[in-house]
Amino acid sequence: MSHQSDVNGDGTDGRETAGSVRPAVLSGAPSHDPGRPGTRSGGVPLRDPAHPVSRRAITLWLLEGAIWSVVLTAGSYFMAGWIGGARWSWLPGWVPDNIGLLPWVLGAFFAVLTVTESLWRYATHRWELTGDVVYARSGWISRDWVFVPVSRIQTVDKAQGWMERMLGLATVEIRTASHAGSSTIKGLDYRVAAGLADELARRAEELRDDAT
Amino acid sequence: MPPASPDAGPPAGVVPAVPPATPSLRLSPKVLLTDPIRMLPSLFLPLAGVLFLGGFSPGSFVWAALGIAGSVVYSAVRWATFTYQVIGDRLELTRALVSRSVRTIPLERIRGVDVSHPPLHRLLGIAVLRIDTGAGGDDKQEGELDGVTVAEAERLKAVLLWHARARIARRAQSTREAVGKPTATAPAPGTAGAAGESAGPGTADRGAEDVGGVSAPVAGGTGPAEGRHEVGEATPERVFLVVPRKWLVYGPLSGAYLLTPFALVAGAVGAAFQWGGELGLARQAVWSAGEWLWARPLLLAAALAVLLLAMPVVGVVMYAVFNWDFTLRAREGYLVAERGLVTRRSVSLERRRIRGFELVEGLVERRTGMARAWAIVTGLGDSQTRGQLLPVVPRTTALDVVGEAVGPIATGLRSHPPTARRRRLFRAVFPWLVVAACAAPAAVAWSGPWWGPVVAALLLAGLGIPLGLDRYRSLGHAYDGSRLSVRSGSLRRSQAVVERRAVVGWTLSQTWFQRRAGLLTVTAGVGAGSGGYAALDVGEAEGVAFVAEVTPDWLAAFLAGEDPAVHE
Repeated sequence: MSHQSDVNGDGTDGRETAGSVRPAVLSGAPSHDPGRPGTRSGGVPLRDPAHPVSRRAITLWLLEGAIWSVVLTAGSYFMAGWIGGARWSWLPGWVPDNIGLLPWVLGAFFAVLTVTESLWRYATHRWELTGDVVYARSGWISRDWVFVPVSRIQTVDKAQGWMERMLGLATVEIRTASHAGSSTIKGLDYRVAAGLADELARRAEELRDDAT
Repeated sequence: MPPASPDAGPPAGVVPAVPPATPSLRLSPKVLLTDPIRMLPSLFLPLAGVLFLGGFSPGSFVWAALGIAGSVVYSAVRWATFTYQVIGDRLELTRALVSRSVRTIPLERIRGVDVSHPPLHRLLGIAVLRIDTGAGGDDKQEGELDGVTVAEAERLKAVLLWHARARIARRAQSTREAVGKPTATAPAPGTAGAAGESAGPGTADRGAEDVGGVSAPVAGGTGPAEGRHEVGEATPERVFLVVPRKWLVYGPLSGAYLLTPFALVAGAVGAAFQWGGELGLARQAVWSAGEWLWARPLLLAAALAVLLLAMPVVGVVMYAVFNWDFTLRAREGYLVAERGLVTRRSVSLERRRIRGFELVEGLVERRTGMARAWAIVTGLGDSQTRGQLLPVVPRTTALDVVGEAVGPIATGLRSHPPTARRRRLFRAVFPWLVVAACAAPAAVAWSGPWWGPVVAALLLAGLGIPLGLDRYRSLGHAYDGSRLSVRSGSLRRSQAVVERRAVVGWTLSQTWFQRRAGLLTVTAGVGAGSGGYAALDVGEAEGVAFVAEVTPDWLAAFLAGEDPAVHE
């Protein structure tokens, strides 16, 4: 196990320094090795944020992906029926003949895509609160790293959609005066999210300065 | 009778010690003239309708007269039932028409006060006062006093802004006490504010320029000015630049208003369709007129040529109307930009809230050495129109003026890696190649006019090469120890210079393509201006280093392999 030393000396006990929100809150979730501080994100000289999001977030992304897949596949099914029935003269003959395959191909493609995306997202989405700076990474094919110092935070929201509610997850939205300095951490365990939101709100109150 | 006519009201109420409590006031009675006249356009249609329907019978004239009288009565009632009052630390706008509504604006939320003089108002010597509370977003300005006398506008502006300054001064003092540093040269948060209370020597850094500046008090503003001297604000105004009228011809170089002739024609055609029916003109007639014109291509070409020739002329005229005598001056902690021929518009930007500026140069402007400038101000709604510091002026002048008013421009921008050039080129050329590739089979299959899009797309792809190269040349970022700067764009090249303290967060983003090229985009989140200023396609290591350079303590804990202690 590795811990970072407390850079700002903000009074925490030195061993558990990955923010004041202890990873212990995660005890329910099987967190895999928080930290991996040495690992770099590709060629970008930043280490990974310490905490992964909840494992149930994978389920959340799978569900979201599944809904889209079903909608689009159903859409392609109807479109295939339409094209197959219409037999437009300007289409080459093989198109209406084989159009029935389109929903199957698309369905398989979306299924693979959904699974890949969910797992990939779980690997990418990580967060950390250290030295009064929130550090969060998100995305999958493209990635975002966001740094928000607690002193600049204006509001901290904790939100739950119906799917998140079902899975016991929550999203923490950290807002500053700028959209480019604001962060949204999705797929957190509800208790972790509540703890993080409370902690951020408390620290933001203490550190508040007028910089906008 | 109104409790106190603002015309007669002395510019009292600016008492430094106690918060001024002005009596409840009404707008100038002259709005009884302006309001109905302003309503005329919206009344015109119903009135015309009544007259037409009534066949111009005496009865219909009576109804029309009743309509006009009604609007006059309506504005009289509106005038009589609307009052405004400064009570303690808030401004209350009370409207008691049917139900009573009170809009309360805390004075400490007031960020700026604009006074404008539309033509009719100017004739009558009244003004429109708008109060900007920096509510942000699409909210309309929260307070508007349409129709106060010019003197009252100046007085009220002084009162409202006095409160804002007093608050700043209080805050500056409390922070000074907290830090235990009694010097007024304390850094940023209270630059202009410190001057509010501690008189002469306290006019910190930028304020000092104002003291030494040209003293030219505005006519009519003497009353409130005396009031302000009482609170120790001894900084006379200073004019940075009055844009010479001959520079108005540079306006169209920015590309602004060039399309006005076409917009006018489109508007006329639209109006012909919409009003044609009402004026008894059959829609058919309009159509046939169009067909007649279409059948005579020579005439059409001539019309087009006229429109094209009119572009620069109309462009200059429109630009001149909006930017006539553009004046930038400093007045007691505010930068005031005034402009306009018909409607004279004045925007006050609180200097304390200015975090930097943006210098914008279009393609033609760069060829001719011109530039425009905007201020980056926190909490300024509609900053695109309101934050403008300079219209199209020679670049050197722009740099001089902005350098004095806000700060110098950053030089020595670091260029971005060669892979960024490839990416700029790819993005400028590839989409058009895709279009061409899609259109080409269609052209082969159906021939004829489909070759048009293919050729056009290929042409644009060809133009994409110099465009991409130029976009790459524009890219750059820099940090000089207190201000960061990023530059990008070609057709509209823009360089932003932002103070470090304005940065509220960072977003680093990397698409799959950028990852392949070892690049990323670093966006500084700034609570002002457009909200974020991005350095596009920086090298991965350079980008992170840039963030670490500007805000070292935010990033120290997260750098990979930087701190061996991290690994324990």
